[in-house]
Amino acid sequence: MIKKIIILSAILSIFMAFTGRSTDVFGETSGDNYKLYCAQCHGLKGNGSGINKGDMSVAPKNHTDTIEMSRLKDTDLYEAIAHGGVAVGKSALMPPWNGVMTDAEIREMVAYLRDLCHCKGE
Amino acid sequence: MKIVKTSLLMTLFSLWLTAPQISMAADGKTVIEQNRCAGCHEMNGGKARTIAEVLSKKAPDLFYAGSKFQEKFLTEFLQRPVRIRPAGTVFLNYTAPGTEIDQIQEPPLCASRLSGEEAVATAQYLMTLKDPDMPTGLYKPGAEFAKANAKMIFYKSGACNACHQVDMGNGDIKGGVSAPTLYDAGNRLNGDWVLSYIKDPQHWDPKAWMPKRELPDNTWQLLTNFLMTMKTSGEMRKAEK
Repeated sequence: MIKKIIILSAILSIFMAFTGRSTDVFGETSGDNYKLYCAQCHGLKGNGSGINKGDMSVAPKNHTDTIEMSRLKDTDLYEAIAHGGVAVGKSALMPPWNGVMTDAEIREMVAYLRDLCHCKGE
Repeated sequence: MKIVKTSLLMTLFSLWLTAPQISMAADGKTVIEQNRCAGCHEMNGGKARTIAEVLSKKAPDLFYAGSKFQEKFLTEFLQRPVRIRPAGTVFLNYTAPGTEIDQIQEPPLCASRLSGEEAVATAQYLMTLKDPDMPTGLYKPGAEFAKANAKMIFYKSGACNACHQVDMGNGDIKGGVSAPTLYDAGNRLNGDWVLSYIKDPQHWDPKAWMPKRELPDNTWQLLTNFLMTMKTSGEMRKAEK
């Protein structure tokens, strides 16, 4: 029985290490990446009120807006983060981050945005 | 024998000529040590490679100051520091959540208040701190360039002003505040460094919160030329306000 529990725990740990949202597997947590790269425009709380918002012609997306965020597919979020707003027909004010974050980190970020909005994509 | 004497004299003469500069640079190093600049600035090449390390940064790295800055700017700044990063060296350290907009909480200004003589010596020393691998001579000061195209890339497709403040005309400063001001880039920065940095910010600062983009070399040249025309000084801003 004990042997089974140990094996199960080991499998679970490995699984968590590769899929866990808040682990340091990719160097930084998605929450920390959000603060460093996204919060300057989208705000520390993700409510679209970053310090750069003041002079922007288009307001940064409020990631806590459940209704608005529910309309977006995960693939839209991925594309916008990786290749910038223009890639999904939105503003060029949102830059591409694929030169800074790894593909895995961007996927983690999509999941983090889903946490912020408490929603799933269409 | 006469040739040996002459070359010996010439060597001594050239040493005498360069001696004051060497001595000034050495004095600058002493000023930096006495003022404990390394307490805030990284002087030895240790780049912040994690977000935790970024957050511990109190002031910009200076170990490549000679590649990055213009000596004249350094000499003036060391006597009368001005704010270059509106939200501090690392915006996260001086920002609090807000309802309409997050609030910047008065980041400290560089404490340097050197005398003119000290500032000259220190700037000379800082100018010796170079990244030997940075390509030089690529930026051609005064070269003609398509300014309209550069503006289009800077303001529209690149939206650089989303994070950087620029002069929209007659000292009207507008733009984002999470990154260094650009309205004075042409007075402050070395063109070759600007070219290198905008192409690959993470080479200089692995955790820079600036996107890295893939663009043709001539586009980077264009942007560098445009950035180096930005020369709005603090006095010019004050005069307008």
